[in-house]
Amino acid sequence: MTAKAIHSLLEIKRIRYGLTLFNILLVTSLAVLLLSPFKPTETTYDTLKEPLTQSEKGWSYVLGTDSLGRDILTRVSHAFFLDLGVGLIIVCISGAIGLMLGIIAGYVGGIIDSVIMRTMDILISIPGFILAIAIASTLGGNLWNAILAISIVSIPIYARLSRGLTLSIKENLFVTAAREAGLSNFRIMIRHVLPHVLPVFITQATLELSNAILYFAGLSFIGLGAQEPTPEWGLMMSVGRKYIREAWWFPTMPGVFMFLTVLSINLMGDGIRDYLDPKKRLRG
Amino acid sequence: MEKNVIYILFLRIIQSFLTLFGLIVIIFILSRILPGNPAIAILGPKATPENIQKVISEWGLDKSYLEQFMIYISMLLRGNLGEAYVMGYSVNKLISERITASFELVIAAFILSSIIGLPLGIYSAKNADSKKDVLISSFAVLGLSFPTILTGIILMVFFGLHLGFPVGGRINPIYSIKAYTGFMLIDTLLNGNFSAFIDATLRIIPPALALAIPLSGLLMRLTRNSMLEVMSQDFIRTARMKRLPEKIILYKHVLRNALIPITTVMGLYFAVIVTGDIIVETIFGWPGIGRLVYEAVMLRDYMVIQGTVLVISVIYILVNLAVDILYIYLDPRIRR
Repeated sequence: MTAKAIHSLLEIKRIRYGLTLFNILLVTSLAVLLLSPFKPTETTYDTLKEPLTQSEKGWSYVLGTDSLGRDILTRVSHAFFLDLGVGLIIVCISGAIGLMLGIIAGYVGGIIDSVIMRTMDILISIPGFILAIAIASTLGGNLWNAILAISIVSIPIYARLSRGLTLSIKENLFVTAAREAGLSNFRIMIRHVLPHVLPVFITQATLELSNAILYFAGLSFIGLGAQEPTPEWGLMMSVGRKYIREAWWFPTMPGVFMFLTVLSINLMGDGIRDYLDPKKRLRG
Repeated sequence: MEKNVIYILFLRIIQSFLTLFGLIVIIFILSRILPGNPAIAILGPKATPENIQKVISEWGLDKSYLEQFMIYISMLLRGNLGEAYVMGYSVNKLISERITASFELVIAAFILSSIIGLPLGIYSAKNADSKKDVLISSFAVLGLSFPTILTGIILMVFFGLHLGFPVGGRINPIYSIKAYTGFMLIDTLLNGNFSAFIDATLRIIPPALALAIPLSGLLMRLTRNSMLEVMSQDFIRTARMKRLPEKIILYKHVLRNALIPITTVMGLYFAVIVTGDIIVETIFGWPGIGRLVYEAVMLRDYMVIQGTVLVISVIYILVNLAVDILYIYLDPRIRR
């Protein structure tokens, strides 16, 4: 049955394109990570070399080098795993908390619902990136604080979504039956409500993953995320910006990698959303 | 009926005030969980014993949290955002000097995105599901997925290095422009300095375009979907049956009704602008409020960060309020 579901998912063009693009990026990054003779943080005298310049180590600098003579392809590939990992951590933290708050608010209702949702309303009515800057600058600019800041900012989206879904699921007969059978509220939430919230939730999470990556790169770009010499896309662009006249590839290449990654995730997310939307599925 | 509108408006305004209050509480809590002594964090490297004493008495840091909060609120009500100890001057002065530059950039981006996004959306809806539509829609998705940092850098390379435009800043410092409105494009004209006007125009295009590209994609998609939605309704069929010219149907019937749902997402639109603005101003050295955030982060001037975050959020809340009021005005169905 899972095989069939995967097969019909793959029939959607966007998922196929997105997955292909993502796999290309993944394999390229993995290959560079394992095979490249350069270290991501090792500085050399080959500063600001153009793409495809030959190096002493036998490999050429495929995407050129940066201001400290580090191979950009190697750094960008390391950053792929860092940024993707950070994005996944953010989605997991904020998703888990948002999901929990949303289900509790929707299922329990009353004053708990009001308190949770009004707090979420306030959080959502401040521009996310601005609030993330406020939190990250308070805690001090480093990688973990940036993750924490973006996680807090992303919670309301999940909370609202899962609350709405819970409200409609709660009205179903099987929930009433479970309650009549004497199951505890906790058990009903976990065993009977959660499984029905998850599919839509996961779709949203996929789309939020690209947002998380963009926010993280943005924070790093203005100096509140990853710090030198960590290979990170936003940070590389921030440093490279100053060398734009001499070396256009230095700030551009990390950006292109980030763009392709975000694009592939968005394509997959859009595709999954189409798959779950019966109206669109019928149209093909 | 009229009473209903007033009631909705009243509720909406109350809600904005609550949000505003919540925002102030959040910022207050953040400023008090600063690691270590808040006074030292506020002062940064300028933390001499006298200064620390001054900040403690100014913000009541030796009193209870409730009293501190009251002091904070009363400062804000008097429109005082505090002293920027690292950057110098008061936070109010720093922000008010910079904010018109940001407004100018955002307005320019807004106009540009309307020029690009609206016609493309209308064209796409007119030729729905044709090859042109698919092409335009794909470009819209690409525009939306493009990270602003990358767009900014590419435009900087393209305009600055390839076309030889003057990029960076608002205007060449050799021109001395007397400020009347704070908007450089208008001021240069009022000064009668035409070459300065051209310089300022050339400088505003790349950053405005960097902001406008994702917005155009968004606007194009919204216009297209909203128009298709309206086109499938009965009154359009009636209009076609009456043999009204297709142009009149498209612009008078479809577009007018399609624009209503578009206004509701303007708030979302504005969030995209605010996020992009900080990054674009940083890249192009545009002396606006976004650049101020970046500089404050670099210099670790906590008061400036706090002040700008507050001001930007307040503007955002007001914009959303205005959009909702506009929506009530535009859509007669809500009034009932």
